[in-house]
Amino acid sequence: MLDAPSSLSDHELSLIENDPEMREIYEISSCLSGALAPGPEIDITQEWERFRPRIRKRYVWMRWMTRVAAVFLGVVALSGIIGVCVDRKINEDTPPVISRVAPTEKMEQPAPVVSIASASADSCATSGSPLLPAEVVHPSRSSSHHRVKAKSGVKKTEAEAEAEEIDIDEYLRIQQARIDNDIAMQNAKIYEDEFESMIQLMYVGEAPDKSVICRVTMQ
Amino acid sequence: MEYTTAEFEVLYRRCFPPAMRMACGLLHDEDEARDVVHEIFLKLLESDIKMENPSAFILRAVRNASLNRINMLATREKIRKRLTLDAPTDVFSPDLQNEDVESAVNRVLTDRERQVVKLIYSEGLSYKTAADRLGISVASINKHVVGALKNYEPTFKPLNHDRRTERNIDSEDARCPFLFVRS
Repeated sequence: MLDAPSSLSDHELSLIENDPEMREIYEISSCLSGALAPGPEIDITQEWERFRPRIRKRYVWMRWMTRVAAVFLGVVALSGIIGVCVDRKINEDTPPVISRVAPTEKMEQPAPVVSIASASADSCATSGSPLLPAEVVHPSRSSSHHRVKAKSGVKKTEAEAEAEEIDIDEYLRIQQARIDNDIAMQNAKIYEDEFESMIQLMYVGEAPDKSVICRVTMQ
Repeated sequence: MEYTTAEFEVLYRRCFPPAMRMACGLLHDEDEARDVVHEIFLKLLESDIKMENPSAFILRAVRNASLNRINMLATREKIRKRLTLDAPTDVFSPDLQNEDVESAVNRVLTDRERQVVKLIYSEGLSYKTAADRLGISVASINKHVVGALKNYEPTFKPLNHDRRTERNIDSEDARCPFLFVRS
């Protein structure tokens, strides 16, 4: 064991390992071998020259890679932050656009029906009160295909999109209604003037304007 | 910790010799010991750990790295190289330990035993060569070696269990990840 340990058989090795006394003798022998063996002759200058190339290659490379990785990660993080901020800003500034609205089946609104009943005209003539402007009948609001109801229970993003669609639909309808109303108001004014002229002609005896007569009689 | 090249050279010149002696004492192979010590110095250079006593850190790291290398070997290989089977329990300064062993050898062994031990362990002679040099039989050599080991045994135990040199080594352990012996 002490003289030629490489020649030991497996059985002898297991004896050394498992027998406490033999193991201790081996350990003492190992300790003496390590302590009494001549130490290496160290030429420190030569050792430093031997070690220095390993510093340059590995140390410089590692430092460079670390810095490159740090810069790359910093750029990626900064890009992500900038992208998120820009995206948020765009979403805040962009108004709801028509293109984002779900296409409806019918965008055109029917013309308002202006009803001037003859009976009502007679009654107005007897009472002497001027004819009220024609009642503008708004298009039926019951047309469901123009109205998109926000459904409950839908995801928040879809509900918000549908709410935007409702607003746009409503907005367009309101605008159209205003335009139609303006037209109707003007028509009503015309008709009122014509009627007054006719009344004047019939009851006051003044000759009305011929153009007015033509328009009323539609000749 | 970032060292300049000049600072690191000073540290290397100061710490390399004891580290190298310790690694050689454990591994019994100069090339392998040099490889271990170089790896530890490179890890020190790359680490971000600030340490007040890098010398103690290096010794501890070299010791543990050497023991890790020994643990990776098979028993047969360990015994072939006369490497320890049991890991030492305490940190020790290799120079101090070697001095203690030498003083114990001089103190507890007889002259003949001391002579045989120095031929076998210091000079690395075989039993036959030592026997030829001393003019005695191989059996006598074996008897003297066994006697020396038994005489040395009481001295060996206290050395292995109570040796502790630099107390600030324990504070370095908590911070350095590659100081620990892998079991």
